[in-house]
Amino acid sequence: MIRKFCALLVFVALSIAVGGMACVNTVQDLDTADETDGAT
Amino acid sequence: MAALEPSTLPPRLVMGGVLVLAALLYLPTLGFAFVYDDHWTLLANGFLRCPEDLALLLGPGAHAAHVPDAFRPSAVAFDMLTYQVFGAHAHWHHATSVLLHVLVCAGLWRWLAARGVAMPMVATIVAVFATLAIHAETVAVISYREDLLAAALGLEAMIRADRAASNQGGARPWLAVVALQMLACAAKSNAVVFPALWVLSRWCGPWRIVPTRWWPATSAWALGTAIAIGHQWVVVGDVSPYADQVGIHAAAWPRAAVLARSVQIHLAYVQQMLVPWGLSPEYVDRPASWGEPATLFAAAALGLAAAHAIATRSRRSTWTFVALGTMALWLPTANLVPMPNMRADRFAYVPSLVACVGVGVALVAAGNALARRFARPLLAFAPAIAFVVVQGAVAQATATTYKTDGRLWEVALRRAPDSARAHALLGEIVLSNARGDEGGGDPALLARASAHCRRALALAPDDALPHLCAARLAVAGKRWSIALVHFEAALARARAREDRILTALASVTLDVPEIPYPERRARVDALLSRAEREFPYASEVAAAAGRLEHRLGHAERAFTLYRRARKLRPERWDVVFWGLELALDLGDSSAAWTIWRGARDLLPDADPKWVDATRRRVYDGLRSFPNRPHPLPLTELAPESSSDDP
Repeated sequence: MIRKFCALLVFVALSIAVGGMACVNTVQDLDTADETDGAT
Repeated sequence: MAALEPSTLPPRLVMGGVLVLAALLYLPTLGFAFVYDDHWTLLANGFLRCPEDLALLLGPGAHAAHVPDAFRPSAVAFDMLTYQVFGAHAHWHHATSVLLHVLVCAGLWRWLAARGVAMPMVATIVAVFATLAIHAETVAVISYREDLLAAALGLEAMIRADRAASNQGGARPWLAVVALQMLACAAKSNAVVFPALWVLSRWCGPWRIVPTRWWPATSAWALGTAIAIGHQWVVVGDVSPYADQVGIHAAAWPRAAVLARSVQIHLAYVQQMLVPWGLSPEYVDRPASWGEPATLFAAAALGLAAAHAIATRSRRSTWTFVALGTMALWLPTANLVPMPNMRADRFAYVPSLVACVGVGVALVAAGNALARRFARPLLAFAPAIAFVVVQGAVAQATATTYKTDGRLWEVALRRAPDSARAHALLGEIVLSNARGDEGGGDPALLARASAHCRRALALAPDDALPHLCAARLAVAGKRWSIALVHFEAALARARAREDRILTALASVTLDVPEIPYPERRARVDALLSRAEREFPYASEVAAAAGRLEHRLGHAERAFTLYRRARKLRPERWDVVFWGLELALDLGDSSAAWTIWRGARDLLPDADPKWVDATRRRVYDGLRSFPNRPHPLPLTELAPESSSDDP
């Protein structure tokens, strides 16, 4: 049972890490967008 | 294969697992820099380097000396302690924030467990709280650990109050409640509602509890809160810590318009907690009308929720406690008193302690319904796991917004394009990059900075920051007269942190050709004496004043001020170099050599061009003036130890 719980925790942590990286990549795409003729 | 049955697991193991998850979630923040208010409250706050003056926090002295957040003595004392232990190393301070968040999670666990909530339910609630995305700002920005500190202390007070109300431990738990509540309120004023939360939890909470000894309980809570509020009254002269700040938007607008916006804001907080969409480091304050559909909808939703919760109080349902408890915890930041920011993600940290109880219960109920519907016991965990994963992923991504100041204000501008503050601060950052090592006066960067400053001025001509941005832009272009006008405008509109404006204004005034030189000198003297009198713990004041006195040829004054600046912020390499230049200007090349050797640890962070030029000046000085010691103890300007690492 303890092993299953630990496996669940690892799964949740990895899922968060992967999901977090996916979200960060989206933000980085926004950050590096060419603004030469943009808002500023 | 047997299904996972959490109730058969050791509670300590499950608790440890959830707390490790909470810590792992924010592990990347250990690589983040100082951002936002960290520069003001931690780096430039010379008071943290003067532990001998700690007692000033007990009276109005620290506030009168413009120590940042002096009306939060617990938080300032905690900052002083962590600075003395960790120095100005951002990673250790971020680790402290993560540890505090873990402590709050542990406190929530202990409180719920002591109330008899089943372990799987406690684990779900705490996992939800640990990973809630709206907490990213509070944990990722070092200076917002005041919210973490207040929550940790408030929860501990709740646990002790439960013990005391159940006749456990005699008078000691009551004294602990008084002390903990006082420290919590002195860390952040929003902790004043913990007594209300405790009373609510025993009055209508979904727990079986032994009869409460109300009088001693409420007396202990009231005494702790009253001491903290009384102290704040003595320090600031008002219940609101922002009472003496001018220029707060919410103070200038009609109260009804502010409250109409506040109602909308609070419904948006609920949405952001449940669906982490629209989180931002910046929100633009605006008044609203009670006739707007958004206000009517939000008021109806929140009003009906409160009315239903009160009407069903006798059922002692989770809903009643969660609805009333969350609303109570939001009262201090509900714009009932004017605040510098009407809305911020960090305002949701303490209220989410209770909101997560409701979310956790709902997720477990949904999971059980799913498991029954499809006859698959494992599905009971699916909603909670999905919620925790989505919230955790968004929290981790949102935290990266606070990695550096440049990134923070870039993101802020994308989320709030009409924010004058974001434009002004980003303009200053871009300008700083343009003038830095790699910018080399890049005209594209200067044009971008100029655009941000102009936009900020157009959006908020009555705010200080846009004028500060315009003034710094003018300084970069050596347009001293324009810089003077904007610095004076910024000073007239500033509601806090006038020290940086006063010193910059003094520096610029000395260079304005239109003003006769004697008048310039008189103005500079007046500005510097005001800055030194009003901001004795501002490192920038001592450093900039020392530089100006140095320029004016007042060696002894410059030495005294440089030495003070070194004490107030030993991490500043430029002050060390200025001291070295003073030694060279006075012909004491051996003192300059001593300072140069002592500055080795600071060199990697210094401007390479400046380092190279200084190195040549030191060696030239040694050749030209081999032995001319000056009466001033100039070697005291050398860094004292290798711990002076920015």
